[in-house]
Amino acid sequence: MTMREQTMNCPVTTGNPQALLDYAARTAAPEQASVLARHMAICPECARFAEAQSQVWSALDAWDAEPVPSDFDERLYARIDAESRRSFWSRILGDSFAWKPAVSFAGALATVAVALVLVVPPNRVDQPSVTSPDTARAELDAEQVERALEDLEMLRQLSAGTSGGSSQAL
Amino acid sequence: MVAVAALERDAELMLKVRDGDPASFALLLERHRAPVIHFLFRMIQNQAIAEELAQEVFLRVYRSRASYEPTAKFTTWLFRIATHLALNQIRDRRHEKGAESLDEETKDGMSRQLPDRLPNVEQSLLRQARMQEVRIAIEALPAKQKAAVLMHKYQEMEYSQIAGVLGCSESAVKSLLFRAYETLRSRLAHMA
Repeated sequence: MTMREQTMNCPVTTGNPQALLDYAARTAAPEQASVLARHMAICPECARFAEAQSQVWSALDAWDAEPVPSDFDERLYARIDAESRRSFWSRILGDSFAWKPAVSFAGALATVAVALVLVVPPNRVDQPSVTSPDTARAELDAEQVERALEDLEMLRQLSAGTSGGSSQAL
Repeated sequence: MVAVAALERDAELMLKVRDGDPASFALLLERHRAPVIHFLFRMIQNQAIAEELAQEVFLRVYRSRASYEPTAKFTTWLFRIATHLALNQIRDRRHEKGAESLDEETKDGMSRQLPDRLPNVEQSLLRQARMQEVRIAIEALPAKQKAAVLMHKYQEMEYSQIAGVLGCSESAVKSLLFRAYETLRSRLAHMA
């Protein structure tokens, strides 16, 4: 191999150092691998690089992963099942929406409303009531009717008392 | 050819899941469960969190079944979800902890990691020490470099697929990997 060929094939010189990573990982195409092998025979720098990278590659092999837990699928299907049983609204509103605070808040509002109804009389005399003219007229009419009924009752009692008194007198 | 067949098989299974076939989901789970858990474990270095995140990955796949279109390789999509969750987890953990010490994490992982398969204690301890150094060296990498190395080394993904997962160009992946391996070479040089 001439000096020119050596330079042309040098991954560092040609700006393709990743080729050495592929070589060390044994993922380089066979043709490329043989070109690199010939090059490294005369290029100590690339040979050192590839050797160091191979050592890293071997070191990483030492890191085993833990076996998959036997209940992984079971837990996953339980979550899928739970999700499919979630209510329509909780799916719409998502997990961030918590029902419990909403229920508590609604309960608190209801309690306050009941307390207001029980403690505060519906028509407090010390509070001016805002009434429309129609309402006022209706109230006036009701009073007149009441008064008329009272007058009639008085007359009925009067006439009854008169006739009773006359019978007693008889 | 095998890769193409695998691509077609995964996409085909996912399309069946989309059409409401639970058995196809079980098959996909069977094929990809271990790689996803192992990838997440190496990213997070905590088995319990890795399992939890892996559950979330498959849950998201299941949730997305109705809108699934086989526009990309299934494993690219799967590992994109996994990487996204792992990077979020790493970011959140960095924010949360001033840092739970790396030694503590390592201790936790190591105790779970090593099945006692080796014939003698000395070999076992040596192997344990080597593994711990590898773990620490990888843990110290920036998150994206770490993800790229794990996909390249342990999932044997091609540059184009890693690029698809990380959402960057193939040349950016090569650059990420080159820098990551450069760091690992210097950190693990004494192990030669």
